[in-house]
Amino acid sequence: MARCCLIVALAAIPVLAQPALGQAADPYDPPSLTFTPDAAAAQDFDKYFYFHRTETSFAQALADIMECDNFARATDFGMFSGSRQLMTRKANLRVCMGYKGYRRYGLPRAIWQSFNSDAVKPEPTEAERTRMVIQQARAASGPLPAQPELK
Amino acid sequence: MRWMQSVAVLAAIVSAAGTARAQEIAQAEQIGGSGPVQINPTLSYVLFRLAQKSEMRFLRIPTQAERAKQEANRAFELVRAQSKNPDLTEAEFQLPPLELYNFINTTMGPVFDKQDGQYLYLIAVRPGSYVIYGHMWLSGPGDAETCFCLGTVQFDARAGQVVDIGRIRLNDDWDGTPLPPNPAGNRPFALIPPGPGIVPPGDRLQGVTITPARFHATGKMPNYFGALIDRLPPIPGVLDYDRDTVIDVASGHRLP
Repeated sequence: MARCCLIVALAAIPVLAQPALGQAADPYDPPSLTFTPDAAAAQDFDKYFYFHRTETSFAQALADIMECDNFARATDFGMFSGSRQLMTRKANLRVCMGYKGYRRYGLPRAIWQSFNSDAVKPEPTEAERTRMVIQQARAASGPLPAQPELK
Repeated sequence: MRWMQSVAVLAAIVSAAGTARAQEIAQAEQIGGSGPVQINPTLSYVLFRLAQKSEMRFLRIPTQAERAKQEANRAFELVRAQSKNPDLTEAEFQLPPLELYNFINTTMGPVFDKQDGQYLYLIAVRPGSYVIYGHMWLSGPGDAETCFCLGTVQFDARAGQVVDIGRIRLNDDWDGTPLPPNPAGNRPFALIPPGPGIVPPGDRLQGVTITPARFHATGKMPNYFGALIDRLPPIPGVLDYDRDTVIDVASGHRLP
């Protein structure tokens, strides 16, 4: 999605209050990030992870994720395709977010897929990407993860 | 001149975001052969060292005059496009960024000289300001291209002079102390400016003015070619970082 469209879409999102008791869950909230660690899931943590930084506002996390997503998605026009392209995209996300001081935490694939996408063709729709970016920013600026940081 | 011919055939496919797949990047005019070098006073010469034969990409920073010309050209092309499509808005109309016409790439050979275990490369370029953009291939194997999009340096190349930029340490060079990996676990490239440990070029440049490059930090740049992204590690007195913010040490400026 062009950055301008994402910004327009984001402007329409209400600021992120937690839903009051009895209200329906906010569709822009990230999924529950708690899980019981197991060795099989941990083997894929290099592929399935999210970022978090303490003392970071949602707005800052959103700006950072969008900037890094832009660098990462530039690989769509690079020399690689398929799995190599995805690896490059994830490596670029790690580099960009890492230099910003974000730490990385592993997730089981199913949880990761509920607010991230590996799809190159077809790309997620604009609405899907908007939702996922907001969820990622909420996770990045939310409570400190219970799992140990990935190195 | 070879670089002019190469620029003429540059063709890039540019997305709305300004990302490009370069079909052809200008090939630098590399000096090889033997014996003294005949300096063309209208060109500048950039000297650098690699421990392995490899390829690098430089960006000549467009001048203000060139940017003004591009703006005028854009206005002209917009009017022409709108004459065919009256619904086209100015925001929708994009030309490839001027930068895409100002990249040059070196190739593994010819090599200018070999000294102290290093391959010396000497390239003839248009005078101007140049950014060390990344490790990218033009004729080599084409694997794992890396741009220094998150922080690098620029230097001036003046007509009739050789500017020595020192050594570019590749991420798989085997000598010296390994640098700490980047956040993706990959070893970084590094620039070692002229100074201790950098052997001056030998007899072939005798009598030629050789100027050690005066570097300035360069802020973030687009990943035009869809490469892996990284940054040069800090260089004392030149380049530093506050998290991801690039700092030009000499001026103290924080660069966007």
